[in-house]
Amino acid sequence: MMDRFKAFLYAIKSEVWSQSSGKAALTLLSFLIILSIVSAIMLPPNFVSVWNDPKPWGIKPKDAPPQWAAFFGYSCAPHYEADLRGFRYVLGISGNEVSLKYTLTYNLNSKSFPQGIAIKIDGLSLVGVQSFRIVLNITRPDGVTVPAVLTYLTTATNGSIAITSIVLNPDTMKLAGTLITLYPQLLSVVNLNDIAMNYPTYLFGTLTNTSRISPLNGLYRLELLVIIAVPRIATAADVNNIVNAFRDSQDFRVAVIGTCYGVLGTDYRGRDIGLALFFGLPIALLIGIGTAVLTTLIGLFAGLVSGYYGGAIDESIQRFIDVLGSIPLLPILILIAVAVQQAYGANPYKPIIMLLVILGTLVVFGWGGLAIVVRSMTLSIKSEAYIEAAKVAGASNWWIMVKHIIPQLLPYIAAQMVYSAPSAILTEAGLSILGIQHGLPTWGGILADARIYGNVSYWWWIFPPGIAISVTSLTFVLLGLSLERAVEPRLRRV
Amino acid sequence: MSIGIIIMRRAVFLALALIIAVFLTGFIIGATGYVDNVVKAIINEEVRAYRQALSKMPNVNQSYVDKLTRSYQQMLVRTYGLDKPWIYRIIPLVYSTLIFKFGDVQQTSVAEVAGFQLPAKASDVILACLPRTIVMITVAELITIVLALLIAPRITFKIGSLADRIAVIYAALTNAIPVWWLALVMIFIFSYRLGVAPQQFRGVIKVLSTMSSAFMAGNAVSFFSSFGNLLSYVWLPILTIVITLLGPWIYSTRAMLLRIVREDFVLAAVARGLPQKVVLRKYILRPALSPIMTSVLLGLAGTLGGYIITESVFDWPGMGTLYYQAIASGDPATILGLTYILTLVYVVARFILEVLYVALDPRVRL
Repeated sequence: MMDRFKAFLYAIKSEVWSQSSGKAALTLLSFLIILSIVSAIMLPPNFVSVWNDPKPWGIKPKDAPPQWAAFFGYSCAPHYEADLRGFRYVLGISGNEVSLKYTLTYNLNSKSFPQGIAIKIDGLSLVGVQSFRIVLNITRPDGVTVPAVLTYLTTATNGSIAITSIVLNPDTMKLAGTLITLYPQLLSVVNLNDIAMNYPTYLFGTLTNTSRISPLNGLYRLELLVIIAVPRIATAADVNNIVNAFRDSQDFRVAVIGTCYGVLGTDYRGRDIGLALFFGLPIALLIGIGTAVLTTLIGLFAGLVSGYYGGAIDESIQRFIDVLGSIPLLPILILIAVAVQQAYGANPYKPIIMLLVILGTLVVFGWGGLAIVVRSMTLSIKSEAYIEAAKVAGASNWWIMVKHIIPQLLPYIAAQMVYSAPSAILTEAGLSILGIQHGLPTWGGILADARIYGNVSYWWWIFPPGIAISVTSLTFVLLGLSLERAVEPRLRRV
Repeated sequence: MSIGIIIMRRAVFLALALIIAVFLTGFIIGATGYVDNVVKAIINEEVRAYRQALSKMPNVNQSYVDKLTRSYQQMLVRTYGLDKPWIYRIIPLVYSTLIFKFGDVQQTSVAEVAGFQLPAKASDVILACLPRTIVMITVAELITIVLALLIAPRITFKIGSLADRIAVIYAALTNAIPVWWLALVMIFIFSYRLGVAPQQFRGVIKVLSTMSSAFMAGNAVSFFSSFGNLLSYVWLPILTIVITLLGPWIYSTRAMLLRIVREDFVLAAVARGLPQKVVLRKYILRPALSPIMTSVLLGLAGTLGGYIITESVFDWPGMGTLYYQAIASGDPATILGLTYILTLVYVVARFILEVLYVALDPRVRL
């Protein structure tokens, strides 16, 4: 059996490989499988919760096209991020205060304004301190320093400060006031509220003529002061303690948020679409291959039993398939998915449960067609003389099915199996489009967001996930086509 | 067995399948407790409003308000049938659906798809949405079928030629591209970038109602002018669907014809020197008629349910959107009514096919 199976696999492989569509399919398939293994290995264990948490994405550009869009004439304000944990600082000690001064430069050279400024701190814990203060001053290319663009102050409780995760943004009203004191002429064009609503435009812009604000290109100097007060005159031990605390924090970075980001752009929360595409691949493949293998196994077994044994078993299986075939699959699938979504709303395993339920429903409703084909083929093989001979020689039913019937069915089943993969992938993605989301970052989920939050107007949000879905299912379609041609000589060229 | 008995048996089993489908839907609605949650939310909302109205009255006695509210809540629980297990609510609903007495729509959002306000009957809502799905999806499917039946026979004799290979590649591509994604792309290009298609498709409700009233009044001018309006709404969805469906349709028709092309009687006809046209018409298309009829009829029957995802993407107020809205908001009468109607259409189409096989294919009668 094993040898025959190997020979069959080898024959299929060489037959498929001899066709150009087969070559394309096998190449694509191995590429996808390797990529998804890499992705599954690299997937951080808490990725789903990070993905759905707005905080980690607070310092990324929102609705930003990919960086390479600049080559096609899109004006990109550069995105600048500096991890301050490894950054050079100037230490200052005065009285009971220890200060770390970071100086960074941001080069704006664009027709558009950055989206803003933010500081992100994760997992910082300071012990034996009184207060923790941050001040960010920006010196513009025109030489004017805007003081206290972003300020932050927190005081210790019981001598310690613990920050799990925060994203700091400028106090826009205060910043607007500062900008107006520095540039009183702004008031002739806009009022305070407008500046506050749209502070990056005025922080990074200049009044070119009486009414137009355009970006002020050049080098911006960002001066970030971190000031920590300790309850005594600061000692070397305090400085050591503070410096270590910052170095050991999980994240401490400042960002000038640009308008282009990453390989595939970002969504409405600033999440990297490229990441979702990368980590969505194993899920899509799992659904496609899982559904295909399970439906095929059930269809093979049911069709075989139905055709081989006949009689009441056959009749009941066929009528069961009739009933299954009459039920509208998609509405039932949506109904089940929505019900499960509601029932397991708060369950941490909800994504897995929903994924399994969707997969299960696709399998339960999907095996009928194959079972009908397998049955009719079994019927014709059963009446062959060598089956009679095997029976006379005392072969059991099981033996006949495994030894004589299944090997003949295999090629057809292989083609059918491959064909059922893309429809499962497309159906699962389609469910996400309807808003039935299990919470895992899938390709369909990104498309759904593009519809709801992107108003169908951002190309980097629509094209890459759709192309990813299409290429994956095209792989299976091409494989199916060439398998079908390999086993069905009538489809070959004369 | 005589043909009559075979057909009767099929009719019985198909009817059974229909009933089981509706029961299964009812079972999923009831057993998962999904609709119960929706009803509970409605009751809580009504009770809250009731309590608020009572508290607004002058010199209220709090304990009296509590007592009144409690009895009001118990009354609501009894009216909605929440005091009994779900089976007592679902079974009567399934039964009345099966005898075409669809219940009332409970959710505003479901009635809104049809352009109605509550109270509305599920049957009226379904009937209002049906024409909108027909003008978009059924028409698109018809166009696809006609094109496929025109193109496929032309490439049957030229298997492996350039035209054939293009058709196969096109079919493989469109088989892999989801319709709803192409819909998103088409909306992105034609509605948002080029501005030649509408961004909101709900306006089709008004166009169709002016069309039907103009038709009733016999006003030809108004009818044709709103027909132009209708075209401005439907062309993009129809184009989208035709582009994606045409490939698979051509491929499957081609496969059906190819199965016959290699038959001995076709070879014999070619060998006799009959012209290709005659061979195609008399020796290939005739035996291919019944499988082609099957996919045409089942395909058309399937369109009446709307394409749930594609309609949602276009925000097209048809059967698919209605179905989805009913499921998403938990409206049992509409869900069961739609499941019943759609399964009924499918089952009837299957039955017609059984009869047609006997009429079209003399081999069955042997």
